[in-house]
Amino acid sequence: MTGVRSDSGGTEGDLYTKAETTPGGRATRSLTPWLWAVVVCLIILRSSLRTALVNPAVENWATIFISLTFQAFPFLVMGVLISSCVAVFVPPSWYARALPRSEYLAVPAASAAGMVLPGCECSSVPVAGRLVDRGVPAAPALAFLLAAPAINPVVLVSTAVAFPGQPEMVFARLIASFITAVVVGWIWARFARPEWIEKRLRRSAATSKTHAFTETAVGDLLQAGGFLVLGAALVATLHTVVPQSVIAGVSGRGFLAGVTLALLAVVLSICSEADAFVAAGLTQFSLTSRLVFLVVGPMVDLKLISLQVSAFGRGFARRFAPLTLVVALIAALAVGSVVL
Amino acid sequence: MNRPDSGAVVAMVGLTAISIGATALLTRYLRPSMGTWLVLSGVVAVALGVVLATIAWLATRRRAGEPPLVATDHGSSRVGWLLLLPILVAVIIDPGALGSYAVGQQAAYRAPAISHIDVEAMLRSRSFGGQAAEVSLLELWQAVEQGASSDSLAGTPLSLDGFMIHDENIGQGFVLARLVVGCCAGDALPVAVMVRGDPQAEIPDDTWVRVQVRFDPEATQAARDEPGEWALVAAVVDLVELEVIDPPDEPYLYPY
Repeated sequence: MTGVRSDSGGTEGDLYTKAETTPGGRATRSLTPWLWAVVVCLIILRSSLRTALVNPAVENWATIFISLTFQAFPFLVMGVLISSCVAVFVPPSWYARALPRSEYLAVPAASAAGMVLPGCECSSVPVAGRLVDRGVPAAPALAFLLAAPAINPVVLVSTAVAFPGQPEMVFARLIASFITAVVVGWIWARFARPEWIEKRLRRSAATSKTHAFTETAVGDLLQAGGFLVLGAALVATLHTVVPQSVIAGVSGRGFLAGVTLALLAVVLSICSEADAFVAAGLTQFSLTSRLVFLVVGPMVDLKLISLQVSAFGRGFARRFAPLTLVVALIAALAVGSVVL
Repeated sequence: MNRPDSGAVVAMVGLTAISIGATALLTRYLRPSMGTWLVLSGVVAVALGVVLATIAWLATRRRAGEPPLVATDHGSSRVGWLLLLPILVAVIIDPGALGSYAVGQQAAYRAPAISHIDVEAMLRSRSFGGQAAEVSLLELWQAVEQGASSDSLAGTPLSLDGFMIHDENIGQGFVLARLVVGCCAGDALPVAVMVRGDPQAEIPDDTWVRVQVRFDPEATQAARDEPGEWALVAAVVDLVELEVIDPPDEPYLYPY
């Protein structure tokens, strides 16, 4: 039962490597009994708390917050099941054989591989995190991270449905997203320093594969899920506080319209399976600026940035998100001016 | 977070996912077709949590006599505790479906008219012996957007469901609205019509009503040419009859 990486000489049952203990090795007590006590108290006090807290804005926030969280949850679970398989069952040597040796060739190959994962951004982040953890070079893993939610079959079909009679929109989205993933991957391969990526995912040192799989899955789910909750809370707050009529005054055409919709995509953080429907509703904007919305959304948004922090750290997200935003904006404007 | 806590939190989130996915709560938050996936992922999460907790318990037993396991292992970072927040919000606030507040926030948009419909056939099949034809706000909006069949629209009394929004700028009348959801309530877009006429009762905002109305093509065209406060109303209609109804099981409309 080997094959699980074990950096420390952990005894059986000592399931985490030494490097992963909290600083100073502080003991943590189980808080589970307290947890249940708090839950029981809350249920008893529920109705009085509710009257004290609830008004239309709070309720609006809460509905959107819960929706965003639980809409992402199935995708997150699918993502961590895949990421745990990556971490536990697939030997690192497999990737070396599967990917072209040159990083510059591996980037488009990994982007194309992103087409087969029928998930949204919430599944691809844990998977990319584990790929990097298993020694896949960062650039192709990140190209996969960008491509998977943007150009998988489900997303393309929903785009075709939302833009009936305009198959060029589907084509433009596919091309512009693919170009963005590849270009960002290449730029990362050429210029990025390894220390920009902080490996935050914990490795299980369990000796049995079932243990290791369970631990990795629960650990990744908590790590990504916690950051997902942060992102969802922020997005719900913006939805509730900022009236979207702020974009009504923007002209519907030209560069400024593209920038506006790029920023809107970042703020709204709509799942890539539903963003085509929202883009179809932005009728006051040109097709090209709506293409920007569709290309930027699955690659850079607040929820996704939060998830990227969970997998690779803040220093990574600070560099990667703006880079992706600029490349996606340029690629979408260029493809849009040719195709649409 | 140590392993028992990690397992407990993941299992609790899983239970919440199941209780949303398998009950009437689902349609407040998500497209109904997401329910199966939500329940499945909830079951997986509960299983993962329970297995992890069991492993931790067995390991503790095996190491009897040694210091307890919970004092030495540090499973995941503390950010995982945040997963309890959506559970607390769901239990304490227990928010309803989005309503007039969300429409107000999104008033610059409207849901897209996507699927072409055969308006004549739709009205014929739903209007028996001069009865009002039941049409959703989204269908009405699509019919108006297609333009061609205004005559038949204007010739048939329509029955529309939605929630009420008052606006002092509209003199005698109100806005009837619904939200259209692609995937989850986070992407909801409004569809609304302006109803002219006196409801003859004090009906608060967000009350669900069923109205019988007549479509006014000229006023609708004028509202589209010269958008005012409610720039994006789909149509202008005249009130014939109004009744207050219970909120529907599916509060949102779906574009496809």
